Amino acid sequence: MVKVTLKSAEGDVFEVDEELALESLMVKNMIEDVGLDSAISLPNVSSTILAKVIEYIKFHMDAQKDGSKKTSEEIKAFDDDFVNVGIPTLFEMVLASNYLNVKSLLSLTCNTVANMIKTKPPAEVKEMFTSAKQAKA
Amino acid sequence: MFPADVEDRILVFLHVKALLRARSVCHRWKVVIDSKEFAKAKVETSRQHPLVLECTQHVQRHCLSLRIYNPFTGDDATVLPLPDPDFLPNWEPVASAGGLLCFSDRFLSGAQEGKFGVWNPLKRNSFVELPGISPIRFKANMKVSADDLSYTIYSPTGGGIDVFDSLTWSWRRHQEYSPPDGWALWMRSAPYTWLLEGSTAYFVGVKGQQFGVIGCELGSNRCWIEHEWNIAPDNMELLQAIVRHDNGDMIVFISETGFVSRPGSLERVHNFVCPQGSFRGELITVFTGIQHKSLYLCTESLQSWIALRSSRYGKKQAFNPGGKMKRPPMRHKVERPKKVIIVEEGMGRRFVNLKEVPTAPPLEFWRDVPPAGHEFWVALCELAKFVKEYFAMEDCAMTTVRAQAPLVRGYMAMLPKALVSLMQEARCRDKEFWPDDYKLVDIAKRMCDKYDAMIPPEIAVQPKHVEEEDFTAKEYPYRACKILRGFLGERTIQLHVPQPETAFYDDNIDLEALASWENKPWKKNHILEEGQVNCGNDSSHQLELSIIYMVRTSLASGGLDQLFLLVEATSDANRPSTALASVSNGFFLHHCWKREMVIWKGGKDLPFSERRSAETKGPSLKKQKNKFLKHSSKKKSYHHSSNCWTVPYVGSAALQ
Repeated sequence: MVKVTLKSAEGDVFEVDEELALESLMVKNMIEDVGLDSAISLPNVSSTILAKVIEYIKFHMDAQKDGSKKTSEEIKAFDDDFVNVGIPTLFEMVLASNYLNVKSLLSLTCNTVANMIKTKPPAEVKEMFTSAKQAKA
Repeated sequence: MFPADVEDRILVFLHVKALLRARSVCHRWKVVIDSKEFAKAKVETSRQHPLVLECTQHVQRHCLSLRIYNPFTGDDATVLPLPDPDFLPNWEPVASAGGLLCFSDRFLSGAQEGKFGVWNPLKRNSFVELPGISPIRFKANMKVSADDLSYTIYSPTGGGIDVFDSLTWSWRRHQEYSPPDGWALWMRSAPYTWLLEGSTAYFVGVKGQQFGVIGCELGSNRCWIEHEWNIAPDNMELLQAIVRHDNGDMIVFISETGFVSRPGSLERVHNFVCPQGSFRGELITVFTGIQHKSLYLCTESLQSWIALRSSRYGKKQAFNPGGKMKRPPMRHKVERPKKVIIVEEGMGRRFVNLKEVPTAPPLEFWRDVPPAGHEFWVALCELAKFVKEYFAMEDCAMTTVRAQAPLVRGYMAMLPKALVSLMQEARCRDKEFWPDDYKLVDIAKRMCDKYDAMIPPEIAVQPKHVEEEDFTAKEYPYRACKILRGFLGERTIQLHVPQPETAFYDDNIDLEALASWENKPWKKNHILEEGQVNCGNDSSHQLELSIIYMVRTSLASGGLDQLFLLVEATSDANRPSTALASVSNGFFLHHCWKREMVIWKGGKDLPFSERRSAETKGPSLKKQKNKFLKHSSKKKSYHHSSNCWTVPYVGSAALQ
């Protein structure tokens, strides 16, 4: 199994299977461009978030394999649990999945954000988005 | 914080109401949400994330409420405002696409044209009525084009599919279909049970004793048999929905009898018989969604085995196509009263111990009974015996016996083959097959005449035969029509049941007016003067007969779509309620299956202390009604009080 080395913003190195790394279209393009020899650096993604993204992809790849015994309920439970994080982390995950171009994760996180917005009055939504901006800044 | 494209992506996941709110968050969002690109993206996304629109009719408020929710999470229900304040509850959502909703007018029984309307929940006053399309139809399907955001509405009829195009704003005949040899489209089912999937339409077809699903390709004349079944269910008219699974299975639901068809088989769903209350509760649709899960939507009165509304049925249940169907427990149990009650019988009174009312043999008894041979006759004799006792008891203990009527009907569902052969023998095939209580007697009688020799003499039956004349007897039609006139004017019938000594016949009946009424085509908003009916010295049985006759007459003339009965019980609260109970239990279910019946139950506990009469200045009928409504809305709602039906609500785009 060919390994791909990913380097997070902090400089931490993650070694993952190529198959797994290819789920991210952005990484896929990078591999096509620069090859597998050097580590792929992802300056926009922090270590914690990258770890989470890898966890997510891994789980779903396992679930899709033929021998998998995971029921759709389990998958859903995992997804629910996965996005059950604080707003800052969630927003970072949205950005990361957008940057890494992982379609399924992007849908999941965007949907979660949308669900949060749904029940909030406009003022709070605005605040939510701007405060996240400030926190980041 | 987010790049613009990520924000847009998040917004796409919002639906209607949330979108409306999101428009006021900032200028950029407003521009985005109002843009056509956004609507197109929404059309795309909505295919992957279906929502369910649930439409509830509240009897007390005489209005509709629309609610959208996600069946997979069940928690983000959004209550939609109505298209406009005067939006009538006769519009029933039938289809949706790209955020638009298509409604069908289901009060059209007298009209010649089918009527549809389209509404964009995002826009105020956007409800538009489409031009009428003849002949009359209720079902439609809808598609929204992602390119130019125009919508098309497909509606099937006898010869082909008619298509409405919003660009040309007109109907046109899209295509004719010619079923394969020997097959005919079954046009009597719930006006045209069909399924539109992609570019294929599926219909129920019939060929002799076979029935099947005919596939039909839009755009060409190609028709084929998708699936066929060797047996036709005895009650094809009740076909409710065709459903297609991800795995290609076709399922046809035949609701009232409790049959579910899959290719090659006709399954009886246990305990599915005799839905209580309004049979309007129609199995609308089924849709497949995320991760290939299929969810069945089914309204409560059908006691759905797959419930989406988690709050009502507890945990959501997923459908397992291979396994046995599950259903939540019966909500309205038929319970037999256990007390001894006094009932009237002719001039005297009699005590009847309700425990002695015959109990029907268990339903299992009828299953797997071979259609010929000894067991069959034993079974038949059992039935005959029961029927005899059933009708012997009818006069004196109606409530209880009536409570068993659904069970009897259940038998009939269990014995279709036997009965078909019986009725063939009895040469009564021309009659409507489904036996109602009176026909039951008839069947039993014919059965006995024919097979007298074969049935052991000790259980040979001479059931009381209820003559057809009973219905046509003079007083019933007239009184019934009078009631109806009241209904049409006021949408409320006040049945006044006075003291027993009041005269039986009402001499002041305008016979000519009534006769002409019967021939008059029913029109929407047709106003007739308010009527009040004195039912005279009625036993509940007679009262019931007149109601039944009324319903029959009006159905025959296409007049009755919705019946509000407001019963004032003056002396004996038991009587009208008995009649109502039996009406709601019995005839209505299969005669009014496409229509609406709502019963307001009157009784001693309701604030009808003041009796309204010509002499005393009582409150007007309207005032009384209001009072009644006010009171009854405080009470726990009666189980007839609301009807829900659902359509999958596809998308929530901001269509312009």
